[in-house]
Order: sequence, then structure tokens, then C-alpha cells
Amino acid sequence: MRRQIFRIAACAVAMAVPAAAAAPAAPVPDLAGIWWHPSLPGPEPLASGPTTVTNRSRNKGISDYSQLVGDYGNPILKPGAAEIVKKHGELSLAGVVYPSPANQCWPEPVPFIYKNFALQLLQEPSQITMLYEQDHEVRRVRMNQSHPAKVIPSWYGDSVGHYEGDTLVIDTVGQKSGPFAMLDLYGTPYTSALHVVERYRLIDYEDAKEGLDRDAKENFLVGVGTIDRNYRGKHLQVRYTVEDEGVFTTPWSATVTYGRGSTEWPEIACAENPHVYYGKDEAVPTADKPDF
Amino acid sequence: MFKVPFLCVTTLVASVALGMVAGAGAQESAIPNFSFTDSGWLLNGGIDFRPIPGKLAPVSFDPAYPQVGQGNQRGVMERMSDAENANLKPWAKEVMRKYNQDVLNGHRAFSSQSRCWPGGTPGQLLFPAEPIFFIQTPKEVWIIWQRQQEVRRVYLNVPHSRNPKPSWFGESVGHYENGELVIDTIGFLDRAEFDFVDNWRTPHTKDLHVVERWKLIDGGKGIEAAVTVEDPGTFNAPWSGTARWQKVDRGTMLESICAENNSAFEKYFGLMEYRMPEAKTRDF
Repeated sequence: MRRQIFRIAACAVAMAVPAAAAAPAAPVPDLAGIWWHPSLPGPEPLASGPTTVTNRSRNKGISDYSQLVGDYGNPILKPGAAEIVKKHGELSLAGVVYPSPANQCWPEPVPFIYKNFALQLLQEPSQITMLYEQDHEVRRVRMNQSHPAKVIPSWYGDSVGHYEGDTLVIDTVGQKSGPFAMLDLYGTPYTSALHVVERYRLIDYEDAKEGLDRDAKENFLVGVGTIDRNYRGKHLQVRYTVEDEGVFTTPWSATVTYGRGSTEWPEIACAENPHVYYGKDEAVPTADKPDF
Repeated sequence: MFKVPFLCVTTLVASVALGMVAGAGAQESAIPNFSFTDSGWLLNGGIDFRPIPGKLAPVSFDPAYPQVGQGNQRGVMERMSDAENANLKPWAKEVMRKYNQDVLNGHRAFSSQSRCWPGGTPGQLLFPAEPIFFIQTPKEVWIIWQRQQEVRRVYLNVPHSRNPKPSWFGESVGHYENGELVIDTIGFLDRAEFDFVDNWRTPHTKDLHVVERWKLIDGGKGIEAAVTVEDPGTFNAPWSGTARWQKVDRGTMLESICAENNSAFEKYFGLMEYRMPEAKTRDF
């Protein structure tokens, strides 16, 4: 209990210090609650400038989620990376569902993890815990700290964060590569040089609309019932910048714009695969008798 | 419905409201603090619920294969459970007999966590070797298992939903009472053959009802959860048991991915896991 009181006191001090400083700092943004972005594949490409790989396969003008054919002609891709994206697209066109972190129930690196529909940020003074609803993925962000000199590679990497005015800035390095590792659903690879900077900000609906329009222009909007399409309150937008000199010709950026919904947090165990998204699931071969 | 306010602000507000900052001694024990950034809680003293004197005991080992201390049972590779326990309904006995027979046939016994599935409530409480972490706010408590980052949510000071959506962990609501976090959980999946309430492969029905009372012990260095389990479809009478954790200052939560099996428990315990078939060359 003493520690709790200490933490509370630290909280009070942390909040009091800006008030006492000469230049009043912006209050720490309250990012609480469940944020929804039920769009697939998810990233919102920018209207101009280097931006995320998009789907060459379109259905009614938007990304055809049943065919994931990444635009290997995107100038952000170095030749080797473009070739990998192209081969994934050829597999998809041939009807092959190639393995990805999502369909293999493996951890989803940043920014692949934006494929999740729901996000919750648990803000504490010394850390932020980021919860994603599919397969209970959890990221941890150490606040106001530096990356260690030697980062131990991990799937979500080493994330440190701080507030810049009304913006939560998260810097991630040290994301481990391995089986199924990719930055998006098109198979875009990455190396140990991957560096992602995320900037989360609450914005009014009028400002969010531009991002939501880009979302609707590119992505397949699903999740009927999870998000309130008439919601006009504050939205949460992350603008993220990705650089990896082993894969990309230039740093590039994109956004994801989250809204609110009335749905409670779902329990999704990926390994259980209990969901039937498009009617009856594909029949899996089963043995009539157990092996033992 | 369950909006969670900003922790720092609301903790302060709630704390002031409760008089905690003012040092009101009587209320300081009202809310136990389980939440530490750099410390977790490691299951301590075995992977079974301990009986509570005066209450019906949990299912335990097969008397024909007595347990040696906290270690393995003599003569078998895996645990042999008391499938003939008088508190079990016939169908539950049958499920447990089947798993016992698997063990006698020399096979690994099933556990949901071995398939990277959630361990359920209260079964997940008995997951050993890796710590759990808490995040407490006035409206919600999160219990996060380092292993596979299983997340359990407890909504505070609200009633159960009218029709909870069935899930492995169930719908948990809670409140603080005399220094304890009291959690009431209903709304379970009907996974009778795969979802167990303990490490003895004791199944349950969707009507399972679990009440947990979590409190600090050993001057804050430990946690004890007293668990009462009732399920008229599985048990003839409710039973109770306790589990304990000790505080471990190992730093923040590590990444522990079940699909990757990167904790490599076989190394710790000298076991040989099943070999998985591997292709020498990639398909594309």
C-alpha cells in the first residue's frame, strides 16, 4: 500500500510539475477506452508522398481482401523487397493463402499489428500497455526512457515513448524477424534495421474525416456492429513512419484512424480459430481413428 | 459500457475520494495493490489448488499413483488424476478416465495451454513458471499472463451482463471488500473435453460459476486467491481451494510467444518435445 501511495504521490507530482513550470505544458492526452478500426487490410495510404504498399487487386475500387496482390511497383520498395511482394501476390492470384503472422497465430510486428480491429491503451506514468483484440496481443511501451545500447530482438521490439504536447510518440526498434515475419499482408519483408515511429493523437471528427475517407477509399470496411459509423466525437489517429534501409528506398508513412464502438472487448483465441467469416469453413482432413 | 479513464488522473481522483492519500488507516487496506511495472507474481508452492480446512477439497491425484511432494507421481510420466472422486458427475469421470488412459499408454496428456489456447478460469491461475502482472484502475482490472500474453479482464462494480457471451475466461465482475479483490465469473464456453478447472484435467460445463477472493499475504510479498467453484453439471457440490503467488522483481513483462515456444521449457526440465516436421527448403 505504501508503494501505491508513492505511485499516487508520484502521479500528483508528475501532474503538478508542469503547472509550476514557466511554460505550461499541454495536458497528457487521455487515450482511454476501446478504439475500433475494423478495416482490412488496415493501413490508410497517404494521399501523396512515400506511403504503404497497397493492393493491386481491386473490387469495386477498393482493396480486394480475397486477393492480396501487393503493389510491387511502389517506389518505396528496393528490388529485392519488390520481388518478395510480387511472389506473394502471384501465390494469392493462384488461390494460395500464403502464411502470415495473422493466419499462423504468430505475433504481428509493428505495423502489421494494425490489422487488429480494436486497440486499447492503458496509460501509466512509467509505461503504456497496448492491447489488441485478436489473439490477445500485448505491447509494452516504456515511457521517458531510451532504448538499451543492445536491444534483445523480440517480435514487438523495444518500444519507448513520450508525450510531445497532445501527441503520444512511440519509437520501436529491435523487432525480430523469423517465420511468417512481414510488415503487411502483402508479405513486405523487413530487416533488423527496421525502425518505426508512431504518433498517436486525438483529433476531432472534422480532422479525422480526411483519414476516414482515405480508409474507405482503400480498405474493405468490415466489423459491422463493432464500430459506430455515426460517431462524431474524438477519434484517435496514429501516423506512423517506417524506415528500414535494407528494404525501403526511403522512409514512408501512413495512418490508421480509430473511432468508437459499442461492442465490448471480445475474446479471440487465434489457435482455436472459432470464427466462420465467410460461411462454412474449409474442411480440414481428419482421421477417423486417433493415432493412439 | 466499460469505459476506462486515464489511469494517473483517475487513480489520483479515486484515491483522494477514498481518503488513501490522507492516510486514513482504516481504508488503506481496502484496495490491495497488485500492480507493479517491474514486478510480477509467480505461482508458488505447486500447481494445484490447496484444500481449505472445513470446505470440500479440490480434485487431486489418483490414489493409485500418489504424488511425491510437489513433484511427479511415481511410476508415470504425466499426472494421473482422481477420476473416481466422489464429487464428480459420471460424465466428468469418464472424460478424466480417458485422459488417464492416454497417460498410461505413454502419451502426453492434453492441456489447453499446450495448444496455445487460453487456460480458462480458474485453470489459468495454475499456470506456473512465468509471472502474472496486474493493472488496476477504478473501473477495471487486467490480469496479464506473461506466457502467451493471456489477458483477463475484471469489470469493477458492475453486475453481470444479462446474456454474457461465452468465452474461455468467462465474464468477470468484481469489487473490493475488506482488502480483497472479489471476482465473480460466469459465461463460459462449453468445451468439456478441452477446458479444465485445474491441472488434473477436471472438466466443466458452461454453467461453471467461479468466485475468487484475491488478497495480499506475507506483508505484500505474496498473493493468495481463495477460489470457490460450483457447477451442478459437473460437481455434486461446490468445492474450494487456494493458490498462491510470490512477488518476483524480474523487471517488466517479457515476450513469451506460445506459437514460437520460445521459452523452451524442455530445456529447463530436460524433456524432449515432439519433433515437428520441417521442410528443408521454402515453398516459394
